[in-house]
Amino acid sequence: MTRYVLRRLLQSVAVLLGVSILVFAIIQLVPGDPIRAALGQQADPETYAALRERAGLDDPVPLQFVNWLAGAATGDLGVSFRTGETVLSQILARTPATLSLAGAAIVVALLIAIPLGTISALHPRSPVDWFASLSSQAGLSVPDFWLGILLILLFAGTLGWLPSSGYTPFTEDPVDWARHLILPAITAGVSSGSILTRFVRSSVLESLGQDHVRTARAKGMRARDVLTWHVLRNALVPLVTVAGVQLAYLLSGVVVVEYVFAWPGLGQLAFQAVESRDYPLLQGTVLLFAVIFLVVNLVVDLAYARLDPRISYRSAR
Amino acid sequence: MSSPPTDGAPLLSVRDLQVSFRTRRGPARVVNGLSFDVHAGCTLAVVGESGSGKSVSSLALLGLLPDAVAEVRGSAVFGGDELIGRTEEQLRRVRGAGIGMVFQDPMTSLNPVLTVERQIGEALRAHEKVSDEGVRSRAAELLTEVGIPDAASRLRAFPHQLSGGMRQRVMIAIALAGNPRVLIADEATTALDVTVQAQIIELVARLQEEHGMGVVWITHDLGVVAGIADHVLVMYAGRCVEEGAVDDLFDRPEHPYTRGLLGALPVVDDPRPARERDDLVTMPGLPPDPVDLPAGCAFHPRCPVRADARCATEVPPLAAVSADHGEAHRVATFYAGGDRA
Repeated sequence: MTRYVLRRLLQSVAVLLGVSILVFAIIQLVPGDPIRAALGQQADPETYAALRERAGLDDPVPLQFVNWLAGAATGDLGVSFRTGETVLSQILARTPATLSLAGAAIVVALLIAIPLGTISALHPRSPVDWFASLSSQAGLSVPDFWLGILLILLFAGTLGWLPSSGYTPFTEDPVDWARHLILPAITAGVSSGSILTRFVRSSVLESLGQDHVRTARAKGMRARDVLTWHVLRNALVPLVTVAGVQLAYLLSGVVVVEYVFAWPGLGQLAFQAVESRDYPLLQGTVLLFAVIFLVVNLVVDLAYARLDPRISYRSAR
Repeated sequence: MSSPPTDGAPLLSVRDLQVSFRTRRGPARVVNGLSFDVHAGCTLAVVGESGSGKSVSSLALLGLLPDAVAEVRGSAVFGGDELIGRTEEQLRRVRGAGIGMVFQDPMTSLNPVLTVERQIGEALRAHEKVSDEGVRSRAAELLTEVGIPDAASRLRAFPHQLSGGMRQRVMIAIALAGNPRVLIADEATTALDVTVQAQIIELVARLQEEHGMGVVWITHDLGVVAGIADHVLVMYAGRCVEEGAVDDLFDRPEHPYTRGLLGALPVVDDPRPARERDDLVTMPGLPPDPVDLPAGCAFHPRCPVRADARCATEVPPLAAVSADHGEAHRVATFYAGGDRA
């Protein structure tokens, strides 16, 4: 088990190196001058040259990369061109907002997907099933920003129940944190929920047809217990993988939703980094997203082994 | 093996059971008027090819077929109560506690992600309140009873950690957990190695004797039947085509289909000429499509005899064979090629 985790971590390092090289190369291809972007068009040529020099932008590209990599390996992701703060501190400042939103959104997604997917699998081709497939189709098709604006209009505008935008840290005011979280979490959770609903439906349907479900019924178990312990329990195993991917997606910043709700998360940070050609910040956030995907996938695989005893990482060498 | 006792009420009495499935092509008539009795301490073997309706009939009795597509009619009386048309909750009380079932493939019939203890425990808890310690000790007893050594440690095992024979023993332990009066073994040895098959057959026979259960052994394997059954019922296209005491039916099969099934087994003292026997050894063709059953005797398109003009138009009734056979020996054929009057 420990060996397995170690091997996976080692693989992750290789993946991260690849991602870094790729992102570095792509940034070089993007037109635009970051110093120009930071200083504006009327900047004094000497200041401009000095800044370029300090940022190392006059070095050959491979050398720039090696310098960045050497820093990254020690936890130093560089300094933002625009604000002059370290990239790491900016990322850390945005992390709680993103964790709140992603966590709440995946909860919303599962609260939609598990009941709706299960009910429609239990009654295939019924009106409920029809409603579920129609609404998950709608949830997938509706653009996030539109749904967000609609929710703001209704709950913040007309009804005035919830704030329209902004973020309050949990540590400052938990109630206000929750009030601000509800609308963006629903907006971000609906599309994940729609994807997961379809998955839960097919997974439960498959689970229902298993021989061991028939055995459970033949034992004389109550229908509810059969559903919980033999249908849902087994359908949960593959759901963990798909939900994990959705969570990783939500964690790596839901740019549009964060933009609509003025949510100070990582997606917004990455968006700003692109806008202002802030290379170190962009490089740092993309690296972080890669780390998030790798960590979530590792956790999912480990959870898999807990949920399905047939999977053992001990034998895998 | 002796004939089933005709005295005493049967534990389970099935009359004119009919099962059809709604399909896109129309109703599939899978069971078409099946009747049988199960007596305490006796083994009834239900024999037939796959698709003959033998498994479906047993699932239908316990309401284990999907309600949305299956239509079940007829009567099945168990312990004085009618089972057909009962509510889910009424049937649930019979499942496991009155009638236990063992299925074909113990790998898929056990839940791969739950421990043996949990799965036996569910069967115990389904019908009475049992404490955790109670479940553990009773489950260990059951494992010991079905011949699993080192029961305490096996309780923590998951199905994939056990051998095929061991898994089927666990299935049997689960079926026994509710103390059923009737045990239905549905192709219970089909997925197992031959040596393991023999052990499982022996185990069920021993348990039957100890618990006085009535056993319904559903199989396509006549070799299994000869060793364990008291009474044999041969099914074809959802109907009983011949039934009788095991010795009687094996010694003097009447129906061309039964003879065909027995054709592979060596026939001793067959009075018929060799040519006729050869005709009956192989059975070309496939069982009929339940959506489109042939008119008359369902077997007639494959029948090597087809001795009567009515074969293609009339369903032959199940009638007693002549008196020198056992009184329970009945056959549904127009063919009187044997010694039938």
